[in-house]
Amino acid sequence: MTPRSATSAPATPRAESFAESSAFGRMPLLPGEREYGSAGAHATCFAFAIATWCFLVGGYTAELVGAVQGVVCLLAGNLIGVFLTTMPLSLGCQRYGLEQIDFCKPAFGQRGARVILVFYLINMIGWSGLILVMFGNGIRNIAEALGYQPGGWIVGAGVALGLGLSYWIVTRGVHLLNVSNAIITPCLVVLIGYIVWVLFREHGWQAIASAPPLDPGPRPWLNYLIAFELGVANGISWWGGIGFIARNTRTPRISVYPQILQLGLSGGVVACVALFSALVVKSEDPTEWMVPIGGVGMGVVALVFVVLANVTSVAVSFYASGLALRHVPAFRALSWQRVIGLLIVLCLPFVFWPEELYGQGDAFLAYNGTMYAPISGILFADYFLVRRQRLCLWSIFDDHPSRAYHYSRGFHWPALACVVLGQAVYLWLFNPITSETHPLFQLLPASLAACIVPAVLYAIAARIWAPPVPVAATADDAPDRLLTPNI
Amino acid sequence: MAQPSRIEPVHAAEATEANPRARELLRRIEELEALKESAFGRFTRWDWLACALVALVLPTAVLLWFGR
Repeated sequence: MTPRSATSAPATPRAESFAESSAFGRMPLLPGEREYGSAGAHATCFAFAIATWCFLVGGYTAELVGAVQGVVCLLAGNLIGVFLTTMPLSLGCQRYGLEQIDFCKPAFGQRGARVILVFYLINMIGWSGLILVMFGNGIRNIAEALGYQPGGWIVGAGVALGLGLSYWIVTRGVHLLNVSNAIITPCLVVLIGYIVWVLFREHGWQAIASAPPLDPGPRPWLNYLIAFELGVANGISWWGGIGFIARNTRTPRISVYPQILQLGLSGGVVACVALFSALVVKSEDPTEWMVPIGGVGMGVVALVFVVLANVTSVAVSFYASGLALRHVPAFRALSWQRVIGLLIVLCLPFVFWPEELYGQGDAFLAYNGTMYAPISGILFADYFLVRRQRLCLWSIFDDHPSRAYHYSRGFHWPALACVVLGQAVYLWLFNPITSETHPLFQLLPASLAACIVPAVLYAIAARIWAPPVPVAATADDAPDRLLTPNI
Repeated sequence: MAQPSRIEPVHAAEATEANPRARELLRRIEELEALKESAFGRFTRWDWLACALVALVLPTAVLLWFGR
């Protein structure tokens, strides 16, 4: 599992067979190949939902609001964010067996979808870096709990170690990743249950509910809205993982309900546990909670476990990013080790400036809303309103200029312009770096505005400039049905 | 990218035949296109309503209630 990307059993590029590459690469999945029934989809989504980044989100929320308002913001925001992003992605990817960057091609164009890929990679690299710093902080806190006093360098060294371990896991292939996931998920459940038990036994609900936020702004209503904004951004951030799960499900219901209930609800609940911990311990850093909550012995054990869970999360994030890079022709020929090596290089700033970048984590979380809210809105409008849930698979997997989704040199400019507009709307209403807001922010949260405004404009623009080509016509009129296959 | 507009249909067909991945892709697309809509399951208006209530209307109402 990864921050917003999901894969449970990736295939090694060395041992590619059609079955493997269709399941974990880009081949459209046939109904008989899809592995998730209802129970499987719920279990997979649950495993993704409870991972360590939920701790980070809960910690950020504790800075702004107390327990009661935080629960409302995290649950409501997460559910709304997941709803907006999952409906087009889940239903579309399930119907056509597509992974999500391919699903973006009808809306954004063959090359325009690569722009979305860049956003996707920024999301992956950012989350991976934050979790690696959490890994480094965990090592420092373990050392301190055992009586050592390491310097600040140990955090950067921890990030470097985490990168090395992640590289080792990802390049060793599927089995190791599956084994670590199979161990980590049940242990995370136990850890979260343990935290809840200790929190309520030692402190009780009254103490948790009355704990003040850690670093609130002067206006309570604004803190509440920004906390909600973080919740929505958290839900929308699942964009990167939804397509993979949905394409592996057998029916539309199995693709949608587990995402809403597990990614939306369960993920929100785990973030709430993190919120309580942060309020009680008075620190937003999850690695600082374990020793005060569980004592030195249990705290160190829990910390060791959180540290290991972080490496697994980053490894899967790298795996998913490596697969996504295969959309770019230049990366298809590169060895798997080099692709993963490139991702490691992109994470190196976290080795040298770990605390500085970690301090921007809440802004990064909000920025995820900036990135994905417009994309989610446009995909919603494109799939349901413009194309009426009918896509042309021939055009998705064919780069030839005569194809319906080639548009103008591979880019569908109205959609890309709407993404930029949506990001501008977001920043106009709420600047996540400075926390400055526009008065309209009280009426319409930035993520929702950045989703709705581009969706409406795109629906109008698509009708005017690029009416959808009938599916049958694009398949039959072409002289040969796959002129330039892009797989 | 190798100027795809210059590819002649006959050559493209040969290239597709020669490339096993493209051949497999072709087979999959044909199979998916041939399937009836019912093979993929249903998502009715009631499903939409349930999802919208649980994940949109209810959270918004709770948010507004606590934000008063």
